[in-house]
Amino acid sequence: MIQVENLTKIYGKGEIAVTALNQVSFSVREGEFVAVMGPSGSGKTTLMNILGCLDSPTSGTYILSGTDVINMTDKELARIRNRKIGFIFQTFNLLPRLTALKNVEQPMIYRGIRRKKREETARKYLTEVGLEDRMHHLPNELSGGQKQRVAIARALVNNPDIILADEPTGNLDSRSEKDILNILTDLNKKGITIIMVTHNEKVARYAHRIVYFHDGEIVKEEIVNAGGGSIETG
Amino acid sequence: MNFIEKIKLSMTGVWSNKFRSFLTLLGVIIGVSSVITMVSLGSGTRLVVGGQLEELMGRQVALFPNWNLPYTQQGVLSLEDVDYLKESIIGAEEVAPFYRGWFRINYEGREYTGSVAGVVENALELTNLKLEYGRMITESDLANHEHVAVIGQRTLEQLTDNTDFASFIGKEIEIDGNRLLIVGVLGIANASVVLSNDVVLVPLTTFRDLWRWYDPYNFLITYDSKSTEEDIINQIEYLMNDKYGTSRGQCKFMPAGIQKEINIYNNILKILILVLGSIAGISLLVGGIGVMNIMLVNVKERTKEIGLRKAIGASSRDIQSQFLIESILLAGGGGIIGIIIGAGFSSLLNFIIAHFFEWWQGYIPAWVILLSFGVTTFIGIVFGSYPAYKASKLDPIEALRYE
Ligand SMILES: Nc1ncnc2c1ncn2[C@@H]1O[C@H](COP(=O)(O)OP(=O)(O)OP(=O)(O)O)[C@@H](O)[C@H]1O
Ligand SMILES: [Mg+2]
Repeated sequence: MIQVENLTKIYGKGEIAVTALNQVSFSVREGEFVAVMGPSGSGKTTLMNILGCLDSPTSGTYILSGTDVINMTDKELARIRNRKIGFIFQTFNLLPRLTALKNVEQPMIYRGIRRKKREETARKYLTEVGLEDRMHHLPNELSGGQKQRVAIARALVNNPDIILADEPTGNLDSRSEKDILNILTDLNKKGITIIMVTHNEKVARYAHRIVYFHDGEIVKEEIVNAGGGSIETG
Repeated sequence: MNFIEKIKLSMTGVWSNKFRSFLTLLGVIIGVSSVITMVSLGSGTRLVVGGQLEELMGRQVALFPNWNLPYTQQGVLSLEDVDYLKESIIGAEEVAPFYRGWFRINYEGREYTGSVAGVVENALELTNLKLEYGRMITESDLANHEHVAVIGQRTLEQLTDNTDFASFIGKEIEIDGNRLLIVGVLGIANASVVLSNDVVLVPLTTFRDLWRWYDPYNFLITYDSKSTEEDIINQIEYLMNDKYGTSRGQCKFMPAGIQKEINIYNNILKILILVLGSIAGISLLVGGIGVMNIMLVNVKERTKEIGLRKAIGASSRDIQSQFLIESILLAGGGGIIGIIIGAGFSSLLNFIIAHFFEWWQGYIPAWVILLSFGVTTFIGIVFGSYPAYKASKLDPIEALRYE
């Protein structure tokens, strides 16, 4: 599904240049749940942005579902972000002036789906994440866990193949954390490939495989749960 | 992403900052209302500007005693001068004498002191007054010294509350104690140099009989299309000087054309249109800069939104059009408010001016409203392009990190 080779990302030039990713090669199979760990500044977010087609690498190759992403136009990349990929952020990134329902509808606007159908789909996914009674609330009327669930519904509405979650539970209490992780595990069981950045070993253990980053390089890979799915964490 | 969706998306942007948007749009609002007022005033004065007023008032020169001289040295017109001028001036068509006096006018117990004119039978055509009901003074009225009167609507309005003006034909009116029969009513006058419709016309011969005046108050001299006003005025001065001599080096009489008056109108108008035009131009420019400013602020404030939208599938073009449409809606909204204010303001102005000049016909042409929409859309595009471009070029990574 995802194949990157010798991926290098250098921010800035000359004296102040920072190598965020250094010759990273790694791949993710379809339906896999991968956790990415590593100290702050090790390049995790940089990798996620490149995998999510939001950023382009300085050098290296990236093959997504058999197609080379590197030389695509802005429009083609937008289309991939819209249909193939769902983003989940640590800070939720909901649009503050729109209700939960409207927030979830947004990706479908760029896909050209009509209003009625959009609303219907958004309701369906909000119900799926357990927010049927919060649809018309504004983000600041929701708890952190609820916000993240809205964000998950938003990531799902266009039926993506991959979910990229950058510290999805970083701002949440342990209860909400568990809710979110269970939702992600369920999605993974339905066949969605998930790549999740986390600082928390316990959280990482929900995945099949953990990839450790240090200074822009992969230093260790560990298979934790070949079968995948939710496991009890003491 | 279809067009209606784009507009809806942009609408939310404009609406969420209503008050700030309104303030920044003041320039556009003032600009558009000035354009509308300017065009509306222009339309009202097109009679003057288009030279139609000259046409309307005819080719005529009024001749008065020279009021610039001391009273005793002013010339006195005589009825003999009618034939003298008519025969002598090359290019003259008609020379009509007018007697004028202010008298008490009584009608059914009400009294009004107004203007009474002794006129010849073709006074109506010469002065551009319009007969609304009844008939004008005729040659036989003049010959028989009939006690008849043609009364202006404005004078009637002072004497009665009855607005059925036709019903006054055949009624009697008293002027300075003399009873006269109303035979005609004058309507709203077009532009007229010597008489307005606040007047009572009586046969010149009757006027002389009743008040025993020898000297006409003024003449009205019309001329043919081959002559110019200047030439006619020069001839009149020459002929009157020849007959009456000069006083202190000046003609004892004063020929007055309308050309001078029209030039004054034209100059006032030009200044007015220039002033309004400059206000419009400057405010629209300022308004445009305001639109640009608020859009730049908007883009800055919504950096995170832009990053998020890109992450969920917006292309740079989608972002660009969202902000461009937003700026067009913003400027267009200013345009609509400007149109409303401009329409209100120019209606008021036209109403006031029409009160002073009966021939004024100011209105708001439909095209200027379309033009205003066009101009504001244009402003939205021109001044929104750069902010929209800037938004579209934002790096989504930076945008998402932005706090
Ligand atoms: N836009 C940028 N310009 C310059 N340097 C950058 C930029 N983005 C990231 N970096 C640098 O690249 C390196 C990797 O950053 P990255 O955000 O990928 O780290 P991270 O592993 O996600 O860290 P954290 O766990 O704190 O989120 C860091 O040294 C960071 O300072
Ligand atoms: Mg990070």
